[in-house]
Amino acid sequence: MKTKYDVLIVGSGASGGMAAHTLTRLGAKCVMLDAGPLIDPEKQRVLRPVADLPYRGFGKPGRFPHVTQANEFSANMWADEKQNPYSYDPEDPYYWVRIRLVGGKTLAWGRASWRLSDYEFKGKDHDGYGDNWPISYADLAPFYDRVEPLFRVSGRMEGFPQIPDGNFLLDDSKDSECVQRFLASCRNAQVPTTKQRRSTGTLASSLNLLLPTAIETGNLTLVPNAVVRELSYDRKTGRVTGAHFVDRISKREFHVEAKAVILGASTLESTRILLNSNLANSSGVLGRYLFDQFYVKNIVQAIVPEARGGKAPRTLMGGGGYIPRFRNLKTKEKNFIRGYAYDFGSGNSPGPQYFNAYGEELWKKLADTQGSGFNLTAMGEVLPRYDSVAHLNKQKTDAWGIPVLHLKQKYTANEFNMAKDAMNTAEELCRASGFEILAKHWEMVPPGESIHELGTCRMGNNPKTSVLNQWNQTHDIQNLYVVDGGAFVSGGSQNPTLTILALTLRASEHLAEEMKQNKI
Amino acid sequence: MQRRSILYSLLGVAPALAWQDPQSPLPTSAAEAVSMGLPKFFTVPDLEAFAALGDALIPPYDGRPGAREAEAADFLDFLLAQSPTDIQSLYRGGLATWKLRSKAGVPAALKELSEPWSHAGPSTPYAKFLSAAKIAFYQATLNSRQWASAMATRSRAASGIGSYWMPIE
Ligand SMILES: Cc1cc2nc3c(=O)[nH]c(=O)nc-3n(C[C@H](O)[C@H](O)[C@H](O)COP(=O)(O)OP(=O)(O)OC[C@H]3O[C@@H](n4cnc5c(N)ncnc54)[C@H](O)[C@@H]3O)c2cc1C
Repeated sequence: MKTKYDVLIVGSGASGGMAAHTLTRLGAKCVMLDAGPLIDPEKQRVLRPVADLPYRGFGKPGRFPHVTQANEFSANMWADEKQNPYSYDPEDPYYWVRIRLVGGKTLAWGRASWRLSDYEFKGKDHDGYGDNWPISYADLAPFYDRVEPLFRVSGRMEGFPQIPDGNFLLDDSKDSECVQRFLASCRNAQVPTTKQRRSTGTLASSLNLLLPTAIETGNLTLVPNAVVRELSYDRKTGRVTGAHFVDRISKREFHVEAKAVILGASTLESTRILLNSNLANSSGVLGRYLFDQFYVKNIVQAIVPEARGGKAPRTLMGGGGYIPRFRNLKTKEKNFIRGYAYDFGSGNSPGPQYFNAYGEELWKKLADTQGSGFNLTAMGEVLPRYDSVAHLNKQKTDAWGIPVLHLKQKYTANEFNMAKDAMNTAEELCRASGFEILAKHWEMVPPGESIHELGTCRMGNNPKTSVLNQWNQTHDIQNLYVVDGGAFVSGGSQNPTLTILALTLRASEHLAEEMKQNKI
Repeated sequence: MQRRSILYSLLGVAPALAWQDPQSPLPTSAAEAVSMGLPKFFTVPDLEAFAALGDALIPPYDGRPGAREAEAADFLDFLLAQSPTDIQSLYRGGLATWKLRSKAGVPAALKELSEPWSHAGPSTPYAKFLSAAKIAFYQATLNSRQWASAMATRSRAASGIGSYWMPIE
């Protein structure tokens, strides 16, 4: 007879890691299954000159058709697209970016760490669209307060209601002169700005910040290379009993038992496990309301003229910042609801694609503008829609014989209008700062590419229109929780991981309490 | 030397280990450094036409090697042989046009490159080919060993060293 664990946690990224960190310290015996191997990121990487790579840094053609972030240096880190296929209608491509390693995507994330606000949690109250979350900012704030110190989030206190302040390592670094000029233009235009808010440290991953503490308690059994196929369910009790999984390498099939199950396999993967298990879908909305944030990368690429020809004094260039949402807070835009944010940075060197030149003239232009760039990327809210959906594609299976997802999401007028507004506003702000506009556009990357996929397993008070209750617990099955981005009802324009972490902390404590009271 | 190794033994570090420099393993040479790849995508005359295009787009400049010095055409031929068919057709068709158009001189053959930047990129297949080839030759030149050695004395950033993820089982 094998151990029956208190809690089975699927996934070891931000959400699974946070669940293990919380539950093991509360005394629960946990087993964690992750589809990927356990690696030491320090030993797994070596310094190499790009010229020594077999494909000169270009990477093997066609290896990652949907991971534009992959290059030859990082290629081996991303989940293999052939082993892990999925499908979409050819006219609506979806770029699904995955990492299957212990630690999940937190091994590579950009660490931008923002809180959501009641503009998201109570978005429907504000403008009538979509649904409110079943929780408000006040419910989650105490959990954000505890997550930020764990991830050593740095930032600056501002008092902006749309991105509430947190428990930061205070960032009072000085801004370069070009950034100061830009900030002044923003002030004149009543556009708010702040420093980036980021998790700090050499690595800011579940692998170094969450899992070691969980393992030290003696309450966590970590099983790498365990690809979960489906959950097992007892009809008599109406409870899940554990999971069937496949060893990634040998393909041997196993079953593990637990009193409760937490899914944290990432937004779409947890939903896939539920769809394959045929569970938790009495509402019929499992897989629906898939959304993300649209990204317009380098929406404006500008030049700081004083930095041309390598003449920039030391204090002119460098650094950047963040513009939080400023549209539709107190006023109302004519052709879109919700809003967008920008990341901005200075000191980049615009690439050859921006110059209509070749040969010596191209070299001269590149040399002239080297280090003189100022650019912005816009990140906009995407409206969750019933018709944006992930469902099973029963014709296609992955390398372990598990049916894959068919993904359907497209951007519509609200997002397009917002993107155009973001381009025009960025241009005005740059011009007002005395920058030259080299290029501007409003083409967003395909859905998925922002790596902020959310929804498909959303929370709500009504079991007929949502999968989870306010505790990330499925309405249908009391001992089953989903803690990743699948739970999101809406996402604003803020990067989602800090919220995933706070929700998981809250849900895990709720589960521990339910177990203490013998409800599970 | 003698004094140092005594120091290291006092510190409890075996001299052999202390002197082992992790940055300099056994000297090796990549195949590219000692030999030419065999053309796989273009024919030999077409590869020469392609290299001439590379010369026009990315010539040597102010001590920087150009596409020809970086053997960028040979490298791109190797890459193209494995590329998706839409890219292969773009390059085959584009090169045929370049061969015809370049008879009237380089400026006439490359006039499409004076179109201003747009995110969607140029509209005709030939103009698309030229912009793609410009970026490809540029990157293949910057990422070459010839570039790294020519630029090593100028700036540390130019040597293109990155953190490489080793294969995972
Ligand atoms: C390059 C990059 C930059 C990013 N930048 C930011 C940023 O700046 N700010 C931000 O907020 N977010 C950012 N993100 C997104 C962030 O990484 C994710 O939001 C976060 O990691 C999600 O956590 P998760 O637990 O849901 O999923 P993950 O971290 O992906 O973890 C999921 C885990 O589940 C495992 N798994 C999947 N399927 C199965 C299965 N069937 N069986 C067993 N295990 C399974 C996977 O192996 C993986 O380890 C970025 C992501 C990337 C890749």
